[in-house]
Amino acid sequence: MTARLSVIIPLLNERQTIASVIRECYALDREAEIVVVANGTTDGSAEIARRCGATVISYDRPLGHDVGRSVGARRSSGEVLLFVDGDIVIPAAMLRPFVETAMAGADIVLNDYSGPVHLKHAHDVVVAKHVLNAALGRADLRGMSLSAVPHAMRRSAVEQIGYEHLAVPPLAHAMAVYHGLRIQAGPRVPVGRLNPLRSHRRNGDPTGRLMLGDHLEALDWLLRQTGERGNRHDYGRRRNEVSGS
Amino acid sequence: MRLSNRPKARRARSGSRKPRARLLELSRARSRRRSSGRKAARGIGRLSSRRFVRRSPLRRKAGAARQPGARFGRAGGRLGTRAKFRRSMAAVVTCKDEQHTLPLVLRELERLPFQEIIVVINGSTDRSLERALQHRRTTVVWLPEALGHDVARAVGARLTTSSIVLFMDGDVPVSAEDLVPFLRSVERGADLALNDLSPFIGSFAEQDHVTRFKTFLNRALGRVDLAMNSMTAVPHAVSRRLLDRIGCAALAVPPKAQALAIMSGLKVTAPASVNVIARNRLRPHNVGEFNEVAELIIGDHLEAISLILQRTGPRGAYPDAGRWRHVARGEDDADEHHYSVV
Repeated sequence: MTARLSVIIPLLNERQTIASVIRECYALDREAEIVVVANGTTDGSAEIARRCGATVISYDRPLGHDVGRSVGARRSSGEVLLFVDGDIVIPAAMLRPFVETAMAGADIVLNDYSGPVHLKHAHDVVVAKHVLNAALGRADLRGMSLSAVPHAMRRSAVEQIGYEHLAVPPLAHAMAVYHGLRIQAGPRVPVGRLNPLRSHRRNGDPTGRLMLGDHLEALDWLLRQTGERGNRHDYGRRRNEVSGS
Repeated sequence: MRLSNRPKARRARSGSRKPRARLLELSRARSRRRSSGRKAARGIGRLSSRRFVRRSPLRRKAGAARQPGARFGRAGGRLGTRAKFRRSMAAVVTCKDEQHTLPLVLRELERLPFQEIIVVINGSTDRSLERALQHRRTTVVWLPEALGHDVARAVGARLTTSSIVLFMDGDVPVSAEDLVPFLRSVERGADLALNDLSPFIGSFAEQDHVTRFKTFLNRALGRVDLAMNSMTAVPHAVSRRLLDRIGCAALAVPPKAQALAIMSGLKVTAPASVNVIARNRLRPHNVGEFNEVAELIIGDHLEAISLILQRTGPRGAYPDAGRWRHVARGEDDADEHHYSVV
């Protein structure tokens, strides 16, 4: 019998939290199919996941950011997919609305979390998420994004976007909005507070640079669909009057 | 070309008409823009022509004819010794129905030792043209039909020859003292001196979409230090080197010009702050969250982003951090030994 719910959990050396993450997922749905994609794990966390009852797909080296989501989604079978991380324990009660809204028909249910926006000079990722949504004509989504966990998707939506694109979440996000999928906001799970970006100041913020690249890739795709102005008017600019420098 | 001959004939024809100013057809003005203003003779040109440029008969070398005793900072007076510049300077003012503020803008510009002050009247229906013509030191370009946002700026820039060019809007008067830092910055080697608007904006949550796009563009270019500062805002000053390198036509889409400048390795700074946000006139098309002007500017930024991505690849200069894309595509059969379903 195929489960109605699949939970996808990428895992990289998160032995402290993985058992609790899986426990909460089973608390959400005893029948859930839990797919853990361990990549480059050396601390025994894959073994912990297996003992907790999850299906573990194991790679001996890190696959890179979010590639685990593509792998896990392709190898799962549920009608609704819930994406969480191996290092953030989110109580089942907080996860439930995401699944229920997707079961009720929404294609995608996002975490209603926009990151720290009280600063004057916000983090690259916060700026990029807001800009991408505005470029997509969905400024109402503010900084919500498929980048942030938890989020739920119907399998039909994943198939329309393409499994491979889940590895670049902002690109998948842009495709979902552009294809007119029904995107809804779920509850707010402040994952930033549960999981502050670790040591990004010390290391020159590699995650921030990666995410900026991801958003540029999403914009690149979008602007190929819409033309270089993203379907914005030019207010009757007569450029030929100054053309040719 | 024939221009140098034309005025003589015209002067003879115009006879008793009082010689005051000179109007040129723009297309001709373009081709002679690097010739000396001295050759410019006087007399009103054919008003029936489509476009005109009035070139001032008065030309002054930098700092040459300062009035003795004029005090620094006095309204209407020239600036004191602190406003000496070693390089030639031009100001380009674009104006669309701004008859009330344009004289204030020009009055402040006239307090600085500009060799060229160019006013581009971009399809005005009020008395902006008359107001501009009252200023003897200005060169006036009259465009009967508006060429659209910022295109007038490119038109004005083309007519300049100075080594520093300051860009202003006809609706935002800025005191001469506040303009000096931008000119000074370019004089000292910057290629683009932007207005630093960061002191005037609130938290990210309170910022409008245009501000966020401006921030994003600078970050995408690796210039987080420029915050949300943009060539979309006035005043800003540029070097002749910038105009030569990116071409005056590029100024018609300011964010694109900025991206070109940064990608060409030109020196971009934001040396001073003038609060133009509070002074910007509210008009029906620039009020509201996604008004027409905001949509235009967002389109400009997307165009600039397109340009960056065309030049640097779909991720800009940002890494993919070792993503195994073929695994994401499900093409990992060859790597079967790497994983095991436990």
